[in-house]
Amino acid sequence: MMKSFIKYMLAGIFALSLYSSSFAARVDTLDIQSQSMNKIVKAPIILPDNYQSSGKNYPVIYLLHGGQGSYKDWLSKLKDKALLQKLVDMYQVIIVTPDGSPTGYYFDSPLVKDSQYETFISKELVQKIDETYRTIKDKKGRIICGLSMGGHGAMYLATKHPDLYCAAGSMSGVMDLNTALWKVPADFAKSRDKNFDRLLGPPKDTASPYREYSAVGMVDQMKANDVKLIFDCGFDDIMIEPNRELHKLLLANGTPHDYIERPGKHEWPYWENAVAYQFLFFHKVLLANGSLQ
Amino acid sequence: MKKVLYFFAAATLFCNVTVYASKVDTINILSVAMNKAYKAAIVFPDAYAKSKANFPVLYLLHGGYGHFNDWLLKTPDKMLVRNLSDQYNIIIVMPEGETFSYYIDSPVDRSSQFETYITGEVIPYIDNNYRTVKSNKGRVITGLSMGGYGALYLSARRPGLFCAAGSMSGALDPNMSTWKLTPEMFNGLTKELVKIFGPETFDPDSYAPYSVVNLADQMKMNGLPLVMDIGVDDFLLEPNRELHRRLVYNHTPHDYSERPGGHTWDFWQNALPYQLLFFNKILKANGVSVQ
Repeated sequence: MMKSFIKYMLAGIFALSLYSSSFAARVDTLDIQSQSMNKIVKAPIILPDNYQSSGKNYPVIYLLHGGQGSYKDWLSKLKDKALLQKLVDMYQVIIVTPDGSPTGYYFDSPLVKDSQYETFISKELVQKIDETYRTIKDKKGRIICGLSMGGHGAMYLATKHPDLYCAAGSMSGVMDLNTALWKVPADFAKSRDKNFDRLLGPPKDTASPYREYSAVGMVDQMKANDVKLIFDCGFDDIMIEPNRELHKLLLANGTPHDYIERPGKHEWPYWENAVAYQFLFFHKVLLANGSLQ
Repeated sequence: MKKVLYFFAAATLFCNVTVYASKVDTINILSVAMNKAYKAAIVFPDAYAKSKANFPVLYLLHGGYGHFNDWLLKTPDKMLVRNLSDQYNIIIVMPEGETFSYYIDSPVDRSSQFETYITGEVIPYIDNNYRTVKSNKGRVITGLSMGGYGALYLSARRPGLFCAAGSMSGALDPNMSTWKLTPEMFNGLTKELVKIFGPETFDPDSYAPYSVVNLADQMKMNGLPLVMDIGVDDFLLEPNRELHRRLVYNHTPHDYSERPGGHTWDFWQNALPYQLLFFNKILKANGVSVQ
């Protein structure tokens, strides 16, 4: 009896040291049936190493990919392939990196039936994750974040659904769908315009097209909401101007937000660096609202 | 058998309570230049005593009207600096900068020679007495307000000493025309600045050589990674924006953050962990961080 108790203690100490020294988080990839789009959408879930043993409920960070990307991006395109696993272990959160299609832009298209990614991400996916895992089933424990098109998605969805998310983050986000403000070749801008036209129809206001779908057009709602915001952009990024514009608008209307400019371009080494700061920000939000001990 | 059990129980308990057990020492570091000893606080990570490794060092400077132990006493979370030391396995040295030295060698006050003190006396003392990484590869410097100025000023002038530098709410330009101050604050600060930098006389540019904002080209030449944080309600917002603009214009790599908040300890408590994350990435890349 005594011996087995000692063995138990030893195992405990061993487990403790194992926990602190290894990153063995688990990745599930779920096939989620989207009712709104009538198709299956994939979403990898990265669970912290102690998920099975802890019995506790975890905050969830939804991490969105960029244009031309997929659900695989965040797990395959970082130089440090274990980065997300390190982050979930370090900050004791669950990460979900759902598919948003290469050009879906995370809104509900009034024209294209199988491009309803606002409904998918903010309703179907959240519901599925909260049913399947031990999550904090409340806005206090739910955060959304992404890069480029996904940065737009995070700000757009969090601003439209402040009851769902306590914080939102954008890295090199497409903060304005007006391609005239992007530093890109004309043919690329044209192809994006075509995509927006396909999804949303012709712009109502040609001077500032699709502003109602852009973060820069939602700043009054951001002010009214209590969603903590962070966004960053590289100096040499094609999206630097729309990000500076959003920062200016939020300063002008007095909406608290963290805004960072740093070296870098619209590419993975930048996002690999930026995501660590975004998670530190989210960690502080979760600590402050009591979702983490 | 019972004894063994107690031992394990004690060991388990010990494990739990010593997860964060950084140690704080207060020492005297003599300044030959000023013929005076000043106090400094040093935080050692828990791992320091348990290993034989050489540790990187962060020099963390206090602000105007402050002293060496501000960072330990004034943050809302009194464990902030100690926890960061443990989290990143870094020694954190908080030297004295007096209430208004500006960390320069004063041209008018021989008893205020803090550039020499920090760079020529404190750093050698620390390297001679502790297991540090004794090169710029393992040395970083930051501070708040006057200390943010000090960190950028000293690192810009002596880039061979550090591998990165930061500023939080830095008082980057002693020319106060761009500061948002009440007349009382302006008059109070003018009295202090004159004691250190000399009379401003009638020339608003007489402090120009001391302005960190004017060191943007030097910073570009140095190529030292820089990180700057400023609150959008801080009276020092404008000089920080001006340095950021100049560094963007001349293509000097730097991380620049504007966050909610004013010139307060809440802001600095929030900002410091981001700066540590920044420094840690560089120390890791330099191969000097202790795992």
